[in-house]
Amino acid sequence: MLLETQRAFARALLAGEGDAALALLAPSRLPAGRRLAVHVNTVLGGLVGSLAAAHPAVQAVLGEQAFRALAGAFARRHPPRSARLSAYGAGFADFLEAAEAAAERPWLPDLARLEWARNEALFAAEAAVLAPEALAGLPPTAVPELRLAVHPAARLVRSSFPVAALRAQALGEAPPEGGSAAVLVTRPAWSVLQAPLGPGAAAFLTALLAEESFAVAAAAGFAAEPDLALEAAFALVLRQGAFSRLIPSIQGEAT
Amino acid sequence: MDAIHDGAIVPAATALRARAGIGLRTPHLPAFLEGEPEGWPAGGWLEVHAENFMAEGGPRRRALFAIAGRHPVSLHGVGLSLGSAEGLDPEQLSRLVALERALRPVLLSEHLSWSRIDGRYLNDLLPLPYSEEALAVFAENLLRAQDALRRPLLIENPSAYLAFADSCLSEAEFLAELVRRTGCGLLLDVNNLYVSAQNLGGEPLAGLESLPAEAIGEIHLAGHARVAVGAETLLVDDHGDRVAPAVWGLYDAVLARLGPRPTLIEWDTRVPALEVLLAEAAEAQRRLDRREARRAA
Repeated sequence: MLLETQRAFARALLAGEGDAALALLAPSRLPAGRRLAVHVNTVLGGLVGSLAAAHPAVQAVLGEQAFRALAGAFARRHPPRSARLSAYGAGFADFLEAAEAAAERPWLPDLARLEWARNEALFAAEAAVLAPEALAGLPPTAVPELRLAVHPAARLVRSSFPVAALRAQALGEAPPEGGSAAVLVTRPAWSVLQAPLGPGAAAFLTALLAEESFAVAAAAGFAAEPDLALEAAFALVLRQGAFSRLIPSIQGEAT
Repeated sequence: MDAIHDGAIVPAATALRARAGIGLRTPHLPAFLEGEPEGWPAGGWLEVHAENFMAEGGPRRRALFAIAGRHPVSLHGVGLSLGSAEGLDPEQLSRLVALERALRPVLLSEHLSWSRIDGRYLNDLLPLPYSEEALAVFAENLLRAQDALRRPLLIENPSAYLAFADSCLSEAEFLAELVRRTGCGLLLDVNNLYVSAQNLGGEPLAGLESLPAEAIGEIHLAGHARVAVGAETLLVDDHGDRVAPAVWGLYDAVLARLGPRPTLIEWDTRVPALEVLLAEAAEAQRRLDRREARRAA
């Protein structure tokens, strides 16, 4: 019976089907529907608020009203599975693919993906950051076979749209410098960092993030962009905090 | 820190017995990280919502642990869903256990409510019918949780907007029976007593006599909103305002009956400047001190 009561409430709050829940309530001078509405507003308002907090640029682009409508539709269809609302909203970008707002703005879902990557980075586990200096003492022969462990907060967002620039524009921030094939998102200290990358750096980093060796990653980078400035790209991704430590080689050569 | 499983307050919390505290909110984190904010009272303490600190890492969590090293912290859960007919979510429980172990909060609390059904989390404190079945479900979940946590939970009375036709116990009877069956403590939210009484009828303190006084380990005070519904008014417990004068009056009556308890000012929405929160806490402290002075006289 309690299970059925709770199911009836879920239907009222998410599907807007309140009849079963209303039938369970004691009579009162205030309409029961109005009382139930307090809970509907709390649930939907809270979820829309969570999605807005995680996607400020998407909200800025759509305007508050349109965002609330889309976020509300998402919340009703995909309520959270966990009480950790900082983890709520992973599917919102995919949901936007089918929205009319995206038909007019094909870059909108990818903008949401960038924002979600930033959110994931913000709450990711702590880990040490591998600094460029840590590689200073490596013998040159060790470099080709070098593999690096990925920092838990590192994310690479690939898009055919310049999402970092779109985000900056939406939020009234200075336009970022760098390429527009992908965005590296990291959180080496207290803040989330972004580094827009060109096609060569993006391909190079994709391979490194898959724990491929430096040589394999470099080859991928040059294949995508023959004039890739490899050292500069490597220094950049290290400085941004993409990696946490060296992975020792099988021969035990690495430090 | 050993807990006493008979409804008594855990020993470490006695230092907070006659002290006021505030909820620690994100806009105020920098003030607490930089040192002690201006106007911070001696013996002050802080409360946080457990679910806001269950991520694996990040600046918010780091800030909490830095601050908890310098101030007593109370951990207030909102997502355990002790009233769920389908039982506890083992992942949620283990996250709470891990956070408690890492933080070692002076006070630990949850709600008389439910949020979870069919694997979905409804982010609200949803009402329970006060039935024998609900009592059995809640008690079983609570015993399991306290066992995993190795300490009692303080259970908070809810703000009510509706009542169920099949309730056969009063809220106070329900809570008193929970204390008897599980050895839990109670968190008395005086604003919720007021809001519930206004919304459902009845006197706010009518049930106080039925609650075991020694089980009450903490008091919450908060503001509420008034919503006009035709000719009627519905009060909404939005924690978005100063404590109402009527609620201060109830607080004095509660102190007169129970004696001092750690008292928290809750302000979660439209969060004001820190000094406004501290002024509310100072008002609670003034009333606590006045009560103590009267007893000594």
